[in-house]
Amino acid sequence: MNHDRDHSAEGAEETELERQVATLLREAGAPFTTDPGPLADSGLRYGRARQRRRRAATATAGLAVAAVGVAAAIGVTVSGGGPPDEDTPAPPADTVIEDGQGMIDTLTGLLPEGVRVRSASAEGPNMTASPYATLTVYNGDAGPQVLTVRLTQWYTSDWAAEAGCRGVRGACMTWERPDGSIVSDLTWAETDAGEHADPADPPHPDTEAWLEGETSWGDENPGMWQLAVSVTGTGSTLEGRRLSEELGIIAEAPVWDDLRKTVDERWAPRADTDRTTGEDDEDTSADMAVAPDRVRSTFRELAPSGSEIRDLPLEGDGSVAFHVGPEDGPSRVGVHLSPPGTGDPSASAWTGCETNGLLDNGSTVYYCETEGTVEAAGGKGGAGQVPFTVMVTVLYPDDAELRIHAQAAPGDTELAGLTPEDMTEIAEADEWHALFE
Amino acid sequence: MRRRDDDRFYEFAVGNSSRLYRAACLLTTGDTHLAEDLVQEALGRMYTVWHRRKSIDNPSAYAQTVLARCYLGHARLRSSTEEPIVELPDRAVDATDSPLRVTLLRALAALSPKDRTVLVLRFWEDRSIEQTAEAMRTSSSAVRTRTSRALARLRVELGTSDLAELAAL
Repeated sequence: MNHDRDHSAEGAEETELERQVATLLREAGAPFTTDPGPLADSGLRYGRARQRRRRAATATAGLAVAAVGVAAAIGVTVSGGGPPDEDTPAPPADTVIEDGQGMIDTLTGLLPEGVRVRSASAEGPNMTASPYATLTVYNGDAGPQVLTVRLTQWYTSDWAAEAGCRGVRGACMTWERPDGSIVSDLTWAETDAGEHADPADPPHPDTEAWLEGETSWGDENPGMWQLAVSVTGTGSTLEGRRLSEELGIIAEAPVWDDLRKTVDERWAPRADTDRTTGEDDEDTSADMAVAPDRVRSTFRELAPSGSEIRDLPLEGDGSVAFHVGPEDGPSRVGVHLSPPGTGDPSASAWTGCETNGLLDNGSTVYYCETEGTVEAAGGKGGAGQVPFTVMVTVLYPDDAELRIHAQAAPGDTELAGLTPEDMTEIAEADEWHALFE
Repeated sequence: MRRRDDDRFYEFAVGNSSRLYRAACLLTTGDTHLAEDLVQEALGRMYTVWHRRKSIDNPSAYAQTVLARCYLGHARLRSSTEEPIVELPDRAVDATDSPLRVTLLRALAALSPKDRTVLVLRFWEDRSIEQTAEAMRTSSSAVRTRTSRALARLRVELGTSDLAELAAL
């Protein structure tokens, strides 16, 4: 038997079959026609909404890093590990939220009975246009769970097209409140974080509730706001009440309406602001001190030569974000600059941080590191897992501040693409403060 | 994204929607509603990377890859919650459809989502084995194996060994 000829014959037959299949597919596919305009429109709207979601999720993911030690800095009173009812703080007083402590008190006060708060971090409207609070909580036998509330606002001329479940892969229900705002209750699909995810996507929490509505800053500046409450670590196999069920109740608390007013009073652009950059520009964050492009280019210049650096969307607090390292397990790096007079001198008190030295220019460098854990509280991707994080903060004599934080890929016990020493070296460079000049 | 970028993206979306839609219809074996959803999602994902399109060799091909991945993600999600079905969706065919089209869509519906995706990428989009492997995030050898298996299965489902005869229907 001539095997070569047999193989050749099989190959020829297969090639012919392939040609025939190609012909059949073309003939079967050709009659499927559509009007490309509406599809392009919906794709554009979906993309915009998705981009917003990613930015919000990026900001939330970044909070895990920021949460390293801020709790101690703001002096939050958190409960220990005692019986649940004894540890649950009283509901918040009916006061206007001014700072991070107010954010934490408010969120803590909205928690259902029996939930224990173990740690917390926050920034209030006195510090940022996107105030947030993050609590690590235990709920019955379940935990740890990370609960985050964040208020974000952005420019858009079509808020209704961006609000609600559009752009969400997973279970999502939405309904309109009498005042026209929209409530969405969603559980992210695993595919968004799984093997088919866009590698640039940040991790997002398991379950969220959004309250979204229309706003504007003068007639020419329409926009929308979003109050997002999210929780990770809500595994379905966990016993005890599911905190996720409470998210909508938290999101709809009237106290957040007052928070929006406070944010607008402090951070909203003047109605006559010239917005030549367009509604979807990345540089609309009110608390950005330096143009993001300059921050990106400075980071690239200072990073070790040959570093693999890929831009990520701007984070909600104005941080510039990157993926550094290999495509399949990069570190997530954020860089945030606070202009003179707005840095946080209490950084020396942050938990897990140490003073790393005094620079010749009088700046103080703080180094914080959080050891990663593989603790999984259920949910996808090891929800409840704490990533290995490093944060280097430089506080300049004029109270300007540079904060570079890096988070290892899930499951990694060290950073990819750059070392903590690299981060320190980058942070200590003179180029950063020069950006303020 | 700046307004000018939005305009360029819109032009891109209009120019590519029809082809993406046809591919999606083949992948979903004629479920036009799902196909529209998939195209919308693929375009939405393209939008979020549009600002770095200069680093993408061929945005149209990239969009097709995104579509294939959206479809596989959808199929994977659905497979964990639904029983598999072989019947065509109601919207897949109508009375005016040719027997060829009906037969082929039925045969495609009997394949697994990955097998169907391999066939669409390889023979409808004319991708090489390596390109198909990259799009599906698998190895070239896995694509070869899956292609052979999918072709054999398709032939069985079509009920004839001579597809040329079928094409002549």
